[in-house]
Amino acid sequence: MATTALKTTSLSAVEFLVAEICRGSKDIATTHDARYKHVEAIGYRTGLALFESHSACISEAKKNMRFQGELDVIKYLCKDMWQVIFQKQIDNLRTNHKGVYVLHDNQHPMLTHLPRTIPIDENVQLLLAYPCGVIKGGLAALGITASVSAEITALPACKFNLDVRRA
Amino acid sequence: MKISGVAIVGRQNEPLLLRTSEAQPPCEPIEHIIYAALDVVDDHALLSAKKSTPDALKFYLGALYPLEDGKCYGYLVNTKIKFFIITQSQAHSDQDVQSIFQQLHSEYVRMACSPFFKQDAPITSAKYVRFVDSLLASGS
Repeated sequence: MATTALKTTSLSAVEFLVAEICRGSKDIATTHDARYKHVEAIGYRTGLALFESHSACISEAKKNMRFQGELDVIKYLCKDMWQVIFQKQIDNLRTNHKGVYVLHDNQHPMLTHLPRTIPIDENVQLLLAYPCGVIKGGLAALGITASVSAEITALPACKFNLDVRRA
Repeated sequence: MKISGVAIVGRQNEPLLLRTSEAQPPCEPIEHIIYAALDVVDDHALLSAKKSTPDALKFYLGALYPLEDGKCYGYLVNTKIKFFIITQSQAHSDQDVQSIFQQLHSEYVRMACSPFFKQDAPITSAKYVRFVDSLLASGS
């Protein structure tokens, strides 16, 4: 039986699209918070559909197998999903084993083309709303509710803070 | 293989789709069968969190429990969506049942990728319902 094959697109197309979504959000919302939410919601929808379709066939060995626990899911996000979306893996994953995860990305594709001297203001922050939404939506698809925020340390490095709320 | 019912249950154990064969409905109301089957699925999910054997983590859960005139099979995927098949006769090869589940799942994924798909809402997609009905009809 044929499994749903993953369709691919070039990374630059994703970069341009996200940049355009961020720019276009100015016409839709006036405040920064509303714009951030708008871009994040688009990412959320992407994550939801992407994880739904991709989590069935990660690899031949893990075909039609479930994840074992939360850490397994986060590892899958860092290794496989980041590869699918950004063609690179998360460089460093830290956790306190109590539901807080910090994902370090030393060369985030959304930030690599920015000049190093640019001040880190809310417009730069907005570029990371999309990946935040993807993470949030993806985890929601796998049954984990998390609050996600991004932090820019030094361009083009950034880190994502995941707080998984326990029921 | 004669399939008398197909059910899909969501993340919070809410029914998303319940379809029974008109010619040969299951011996009990499908809601009752699935209600009992969900307990067995929960058991499997708890077990797989503790054990790490590859078999415990498979989507396909096998026959959950026997009915008067058939069996109830279960399939639990990563996104916590549960698929159930209720068959008419007792003996089926796991492979046959598994391949039907895989079809159900891959069609579900195709539907979930549609921009108009609503998460956690009862399935209204005519295409998907038609697909499920074709499964019910093909066996009888």
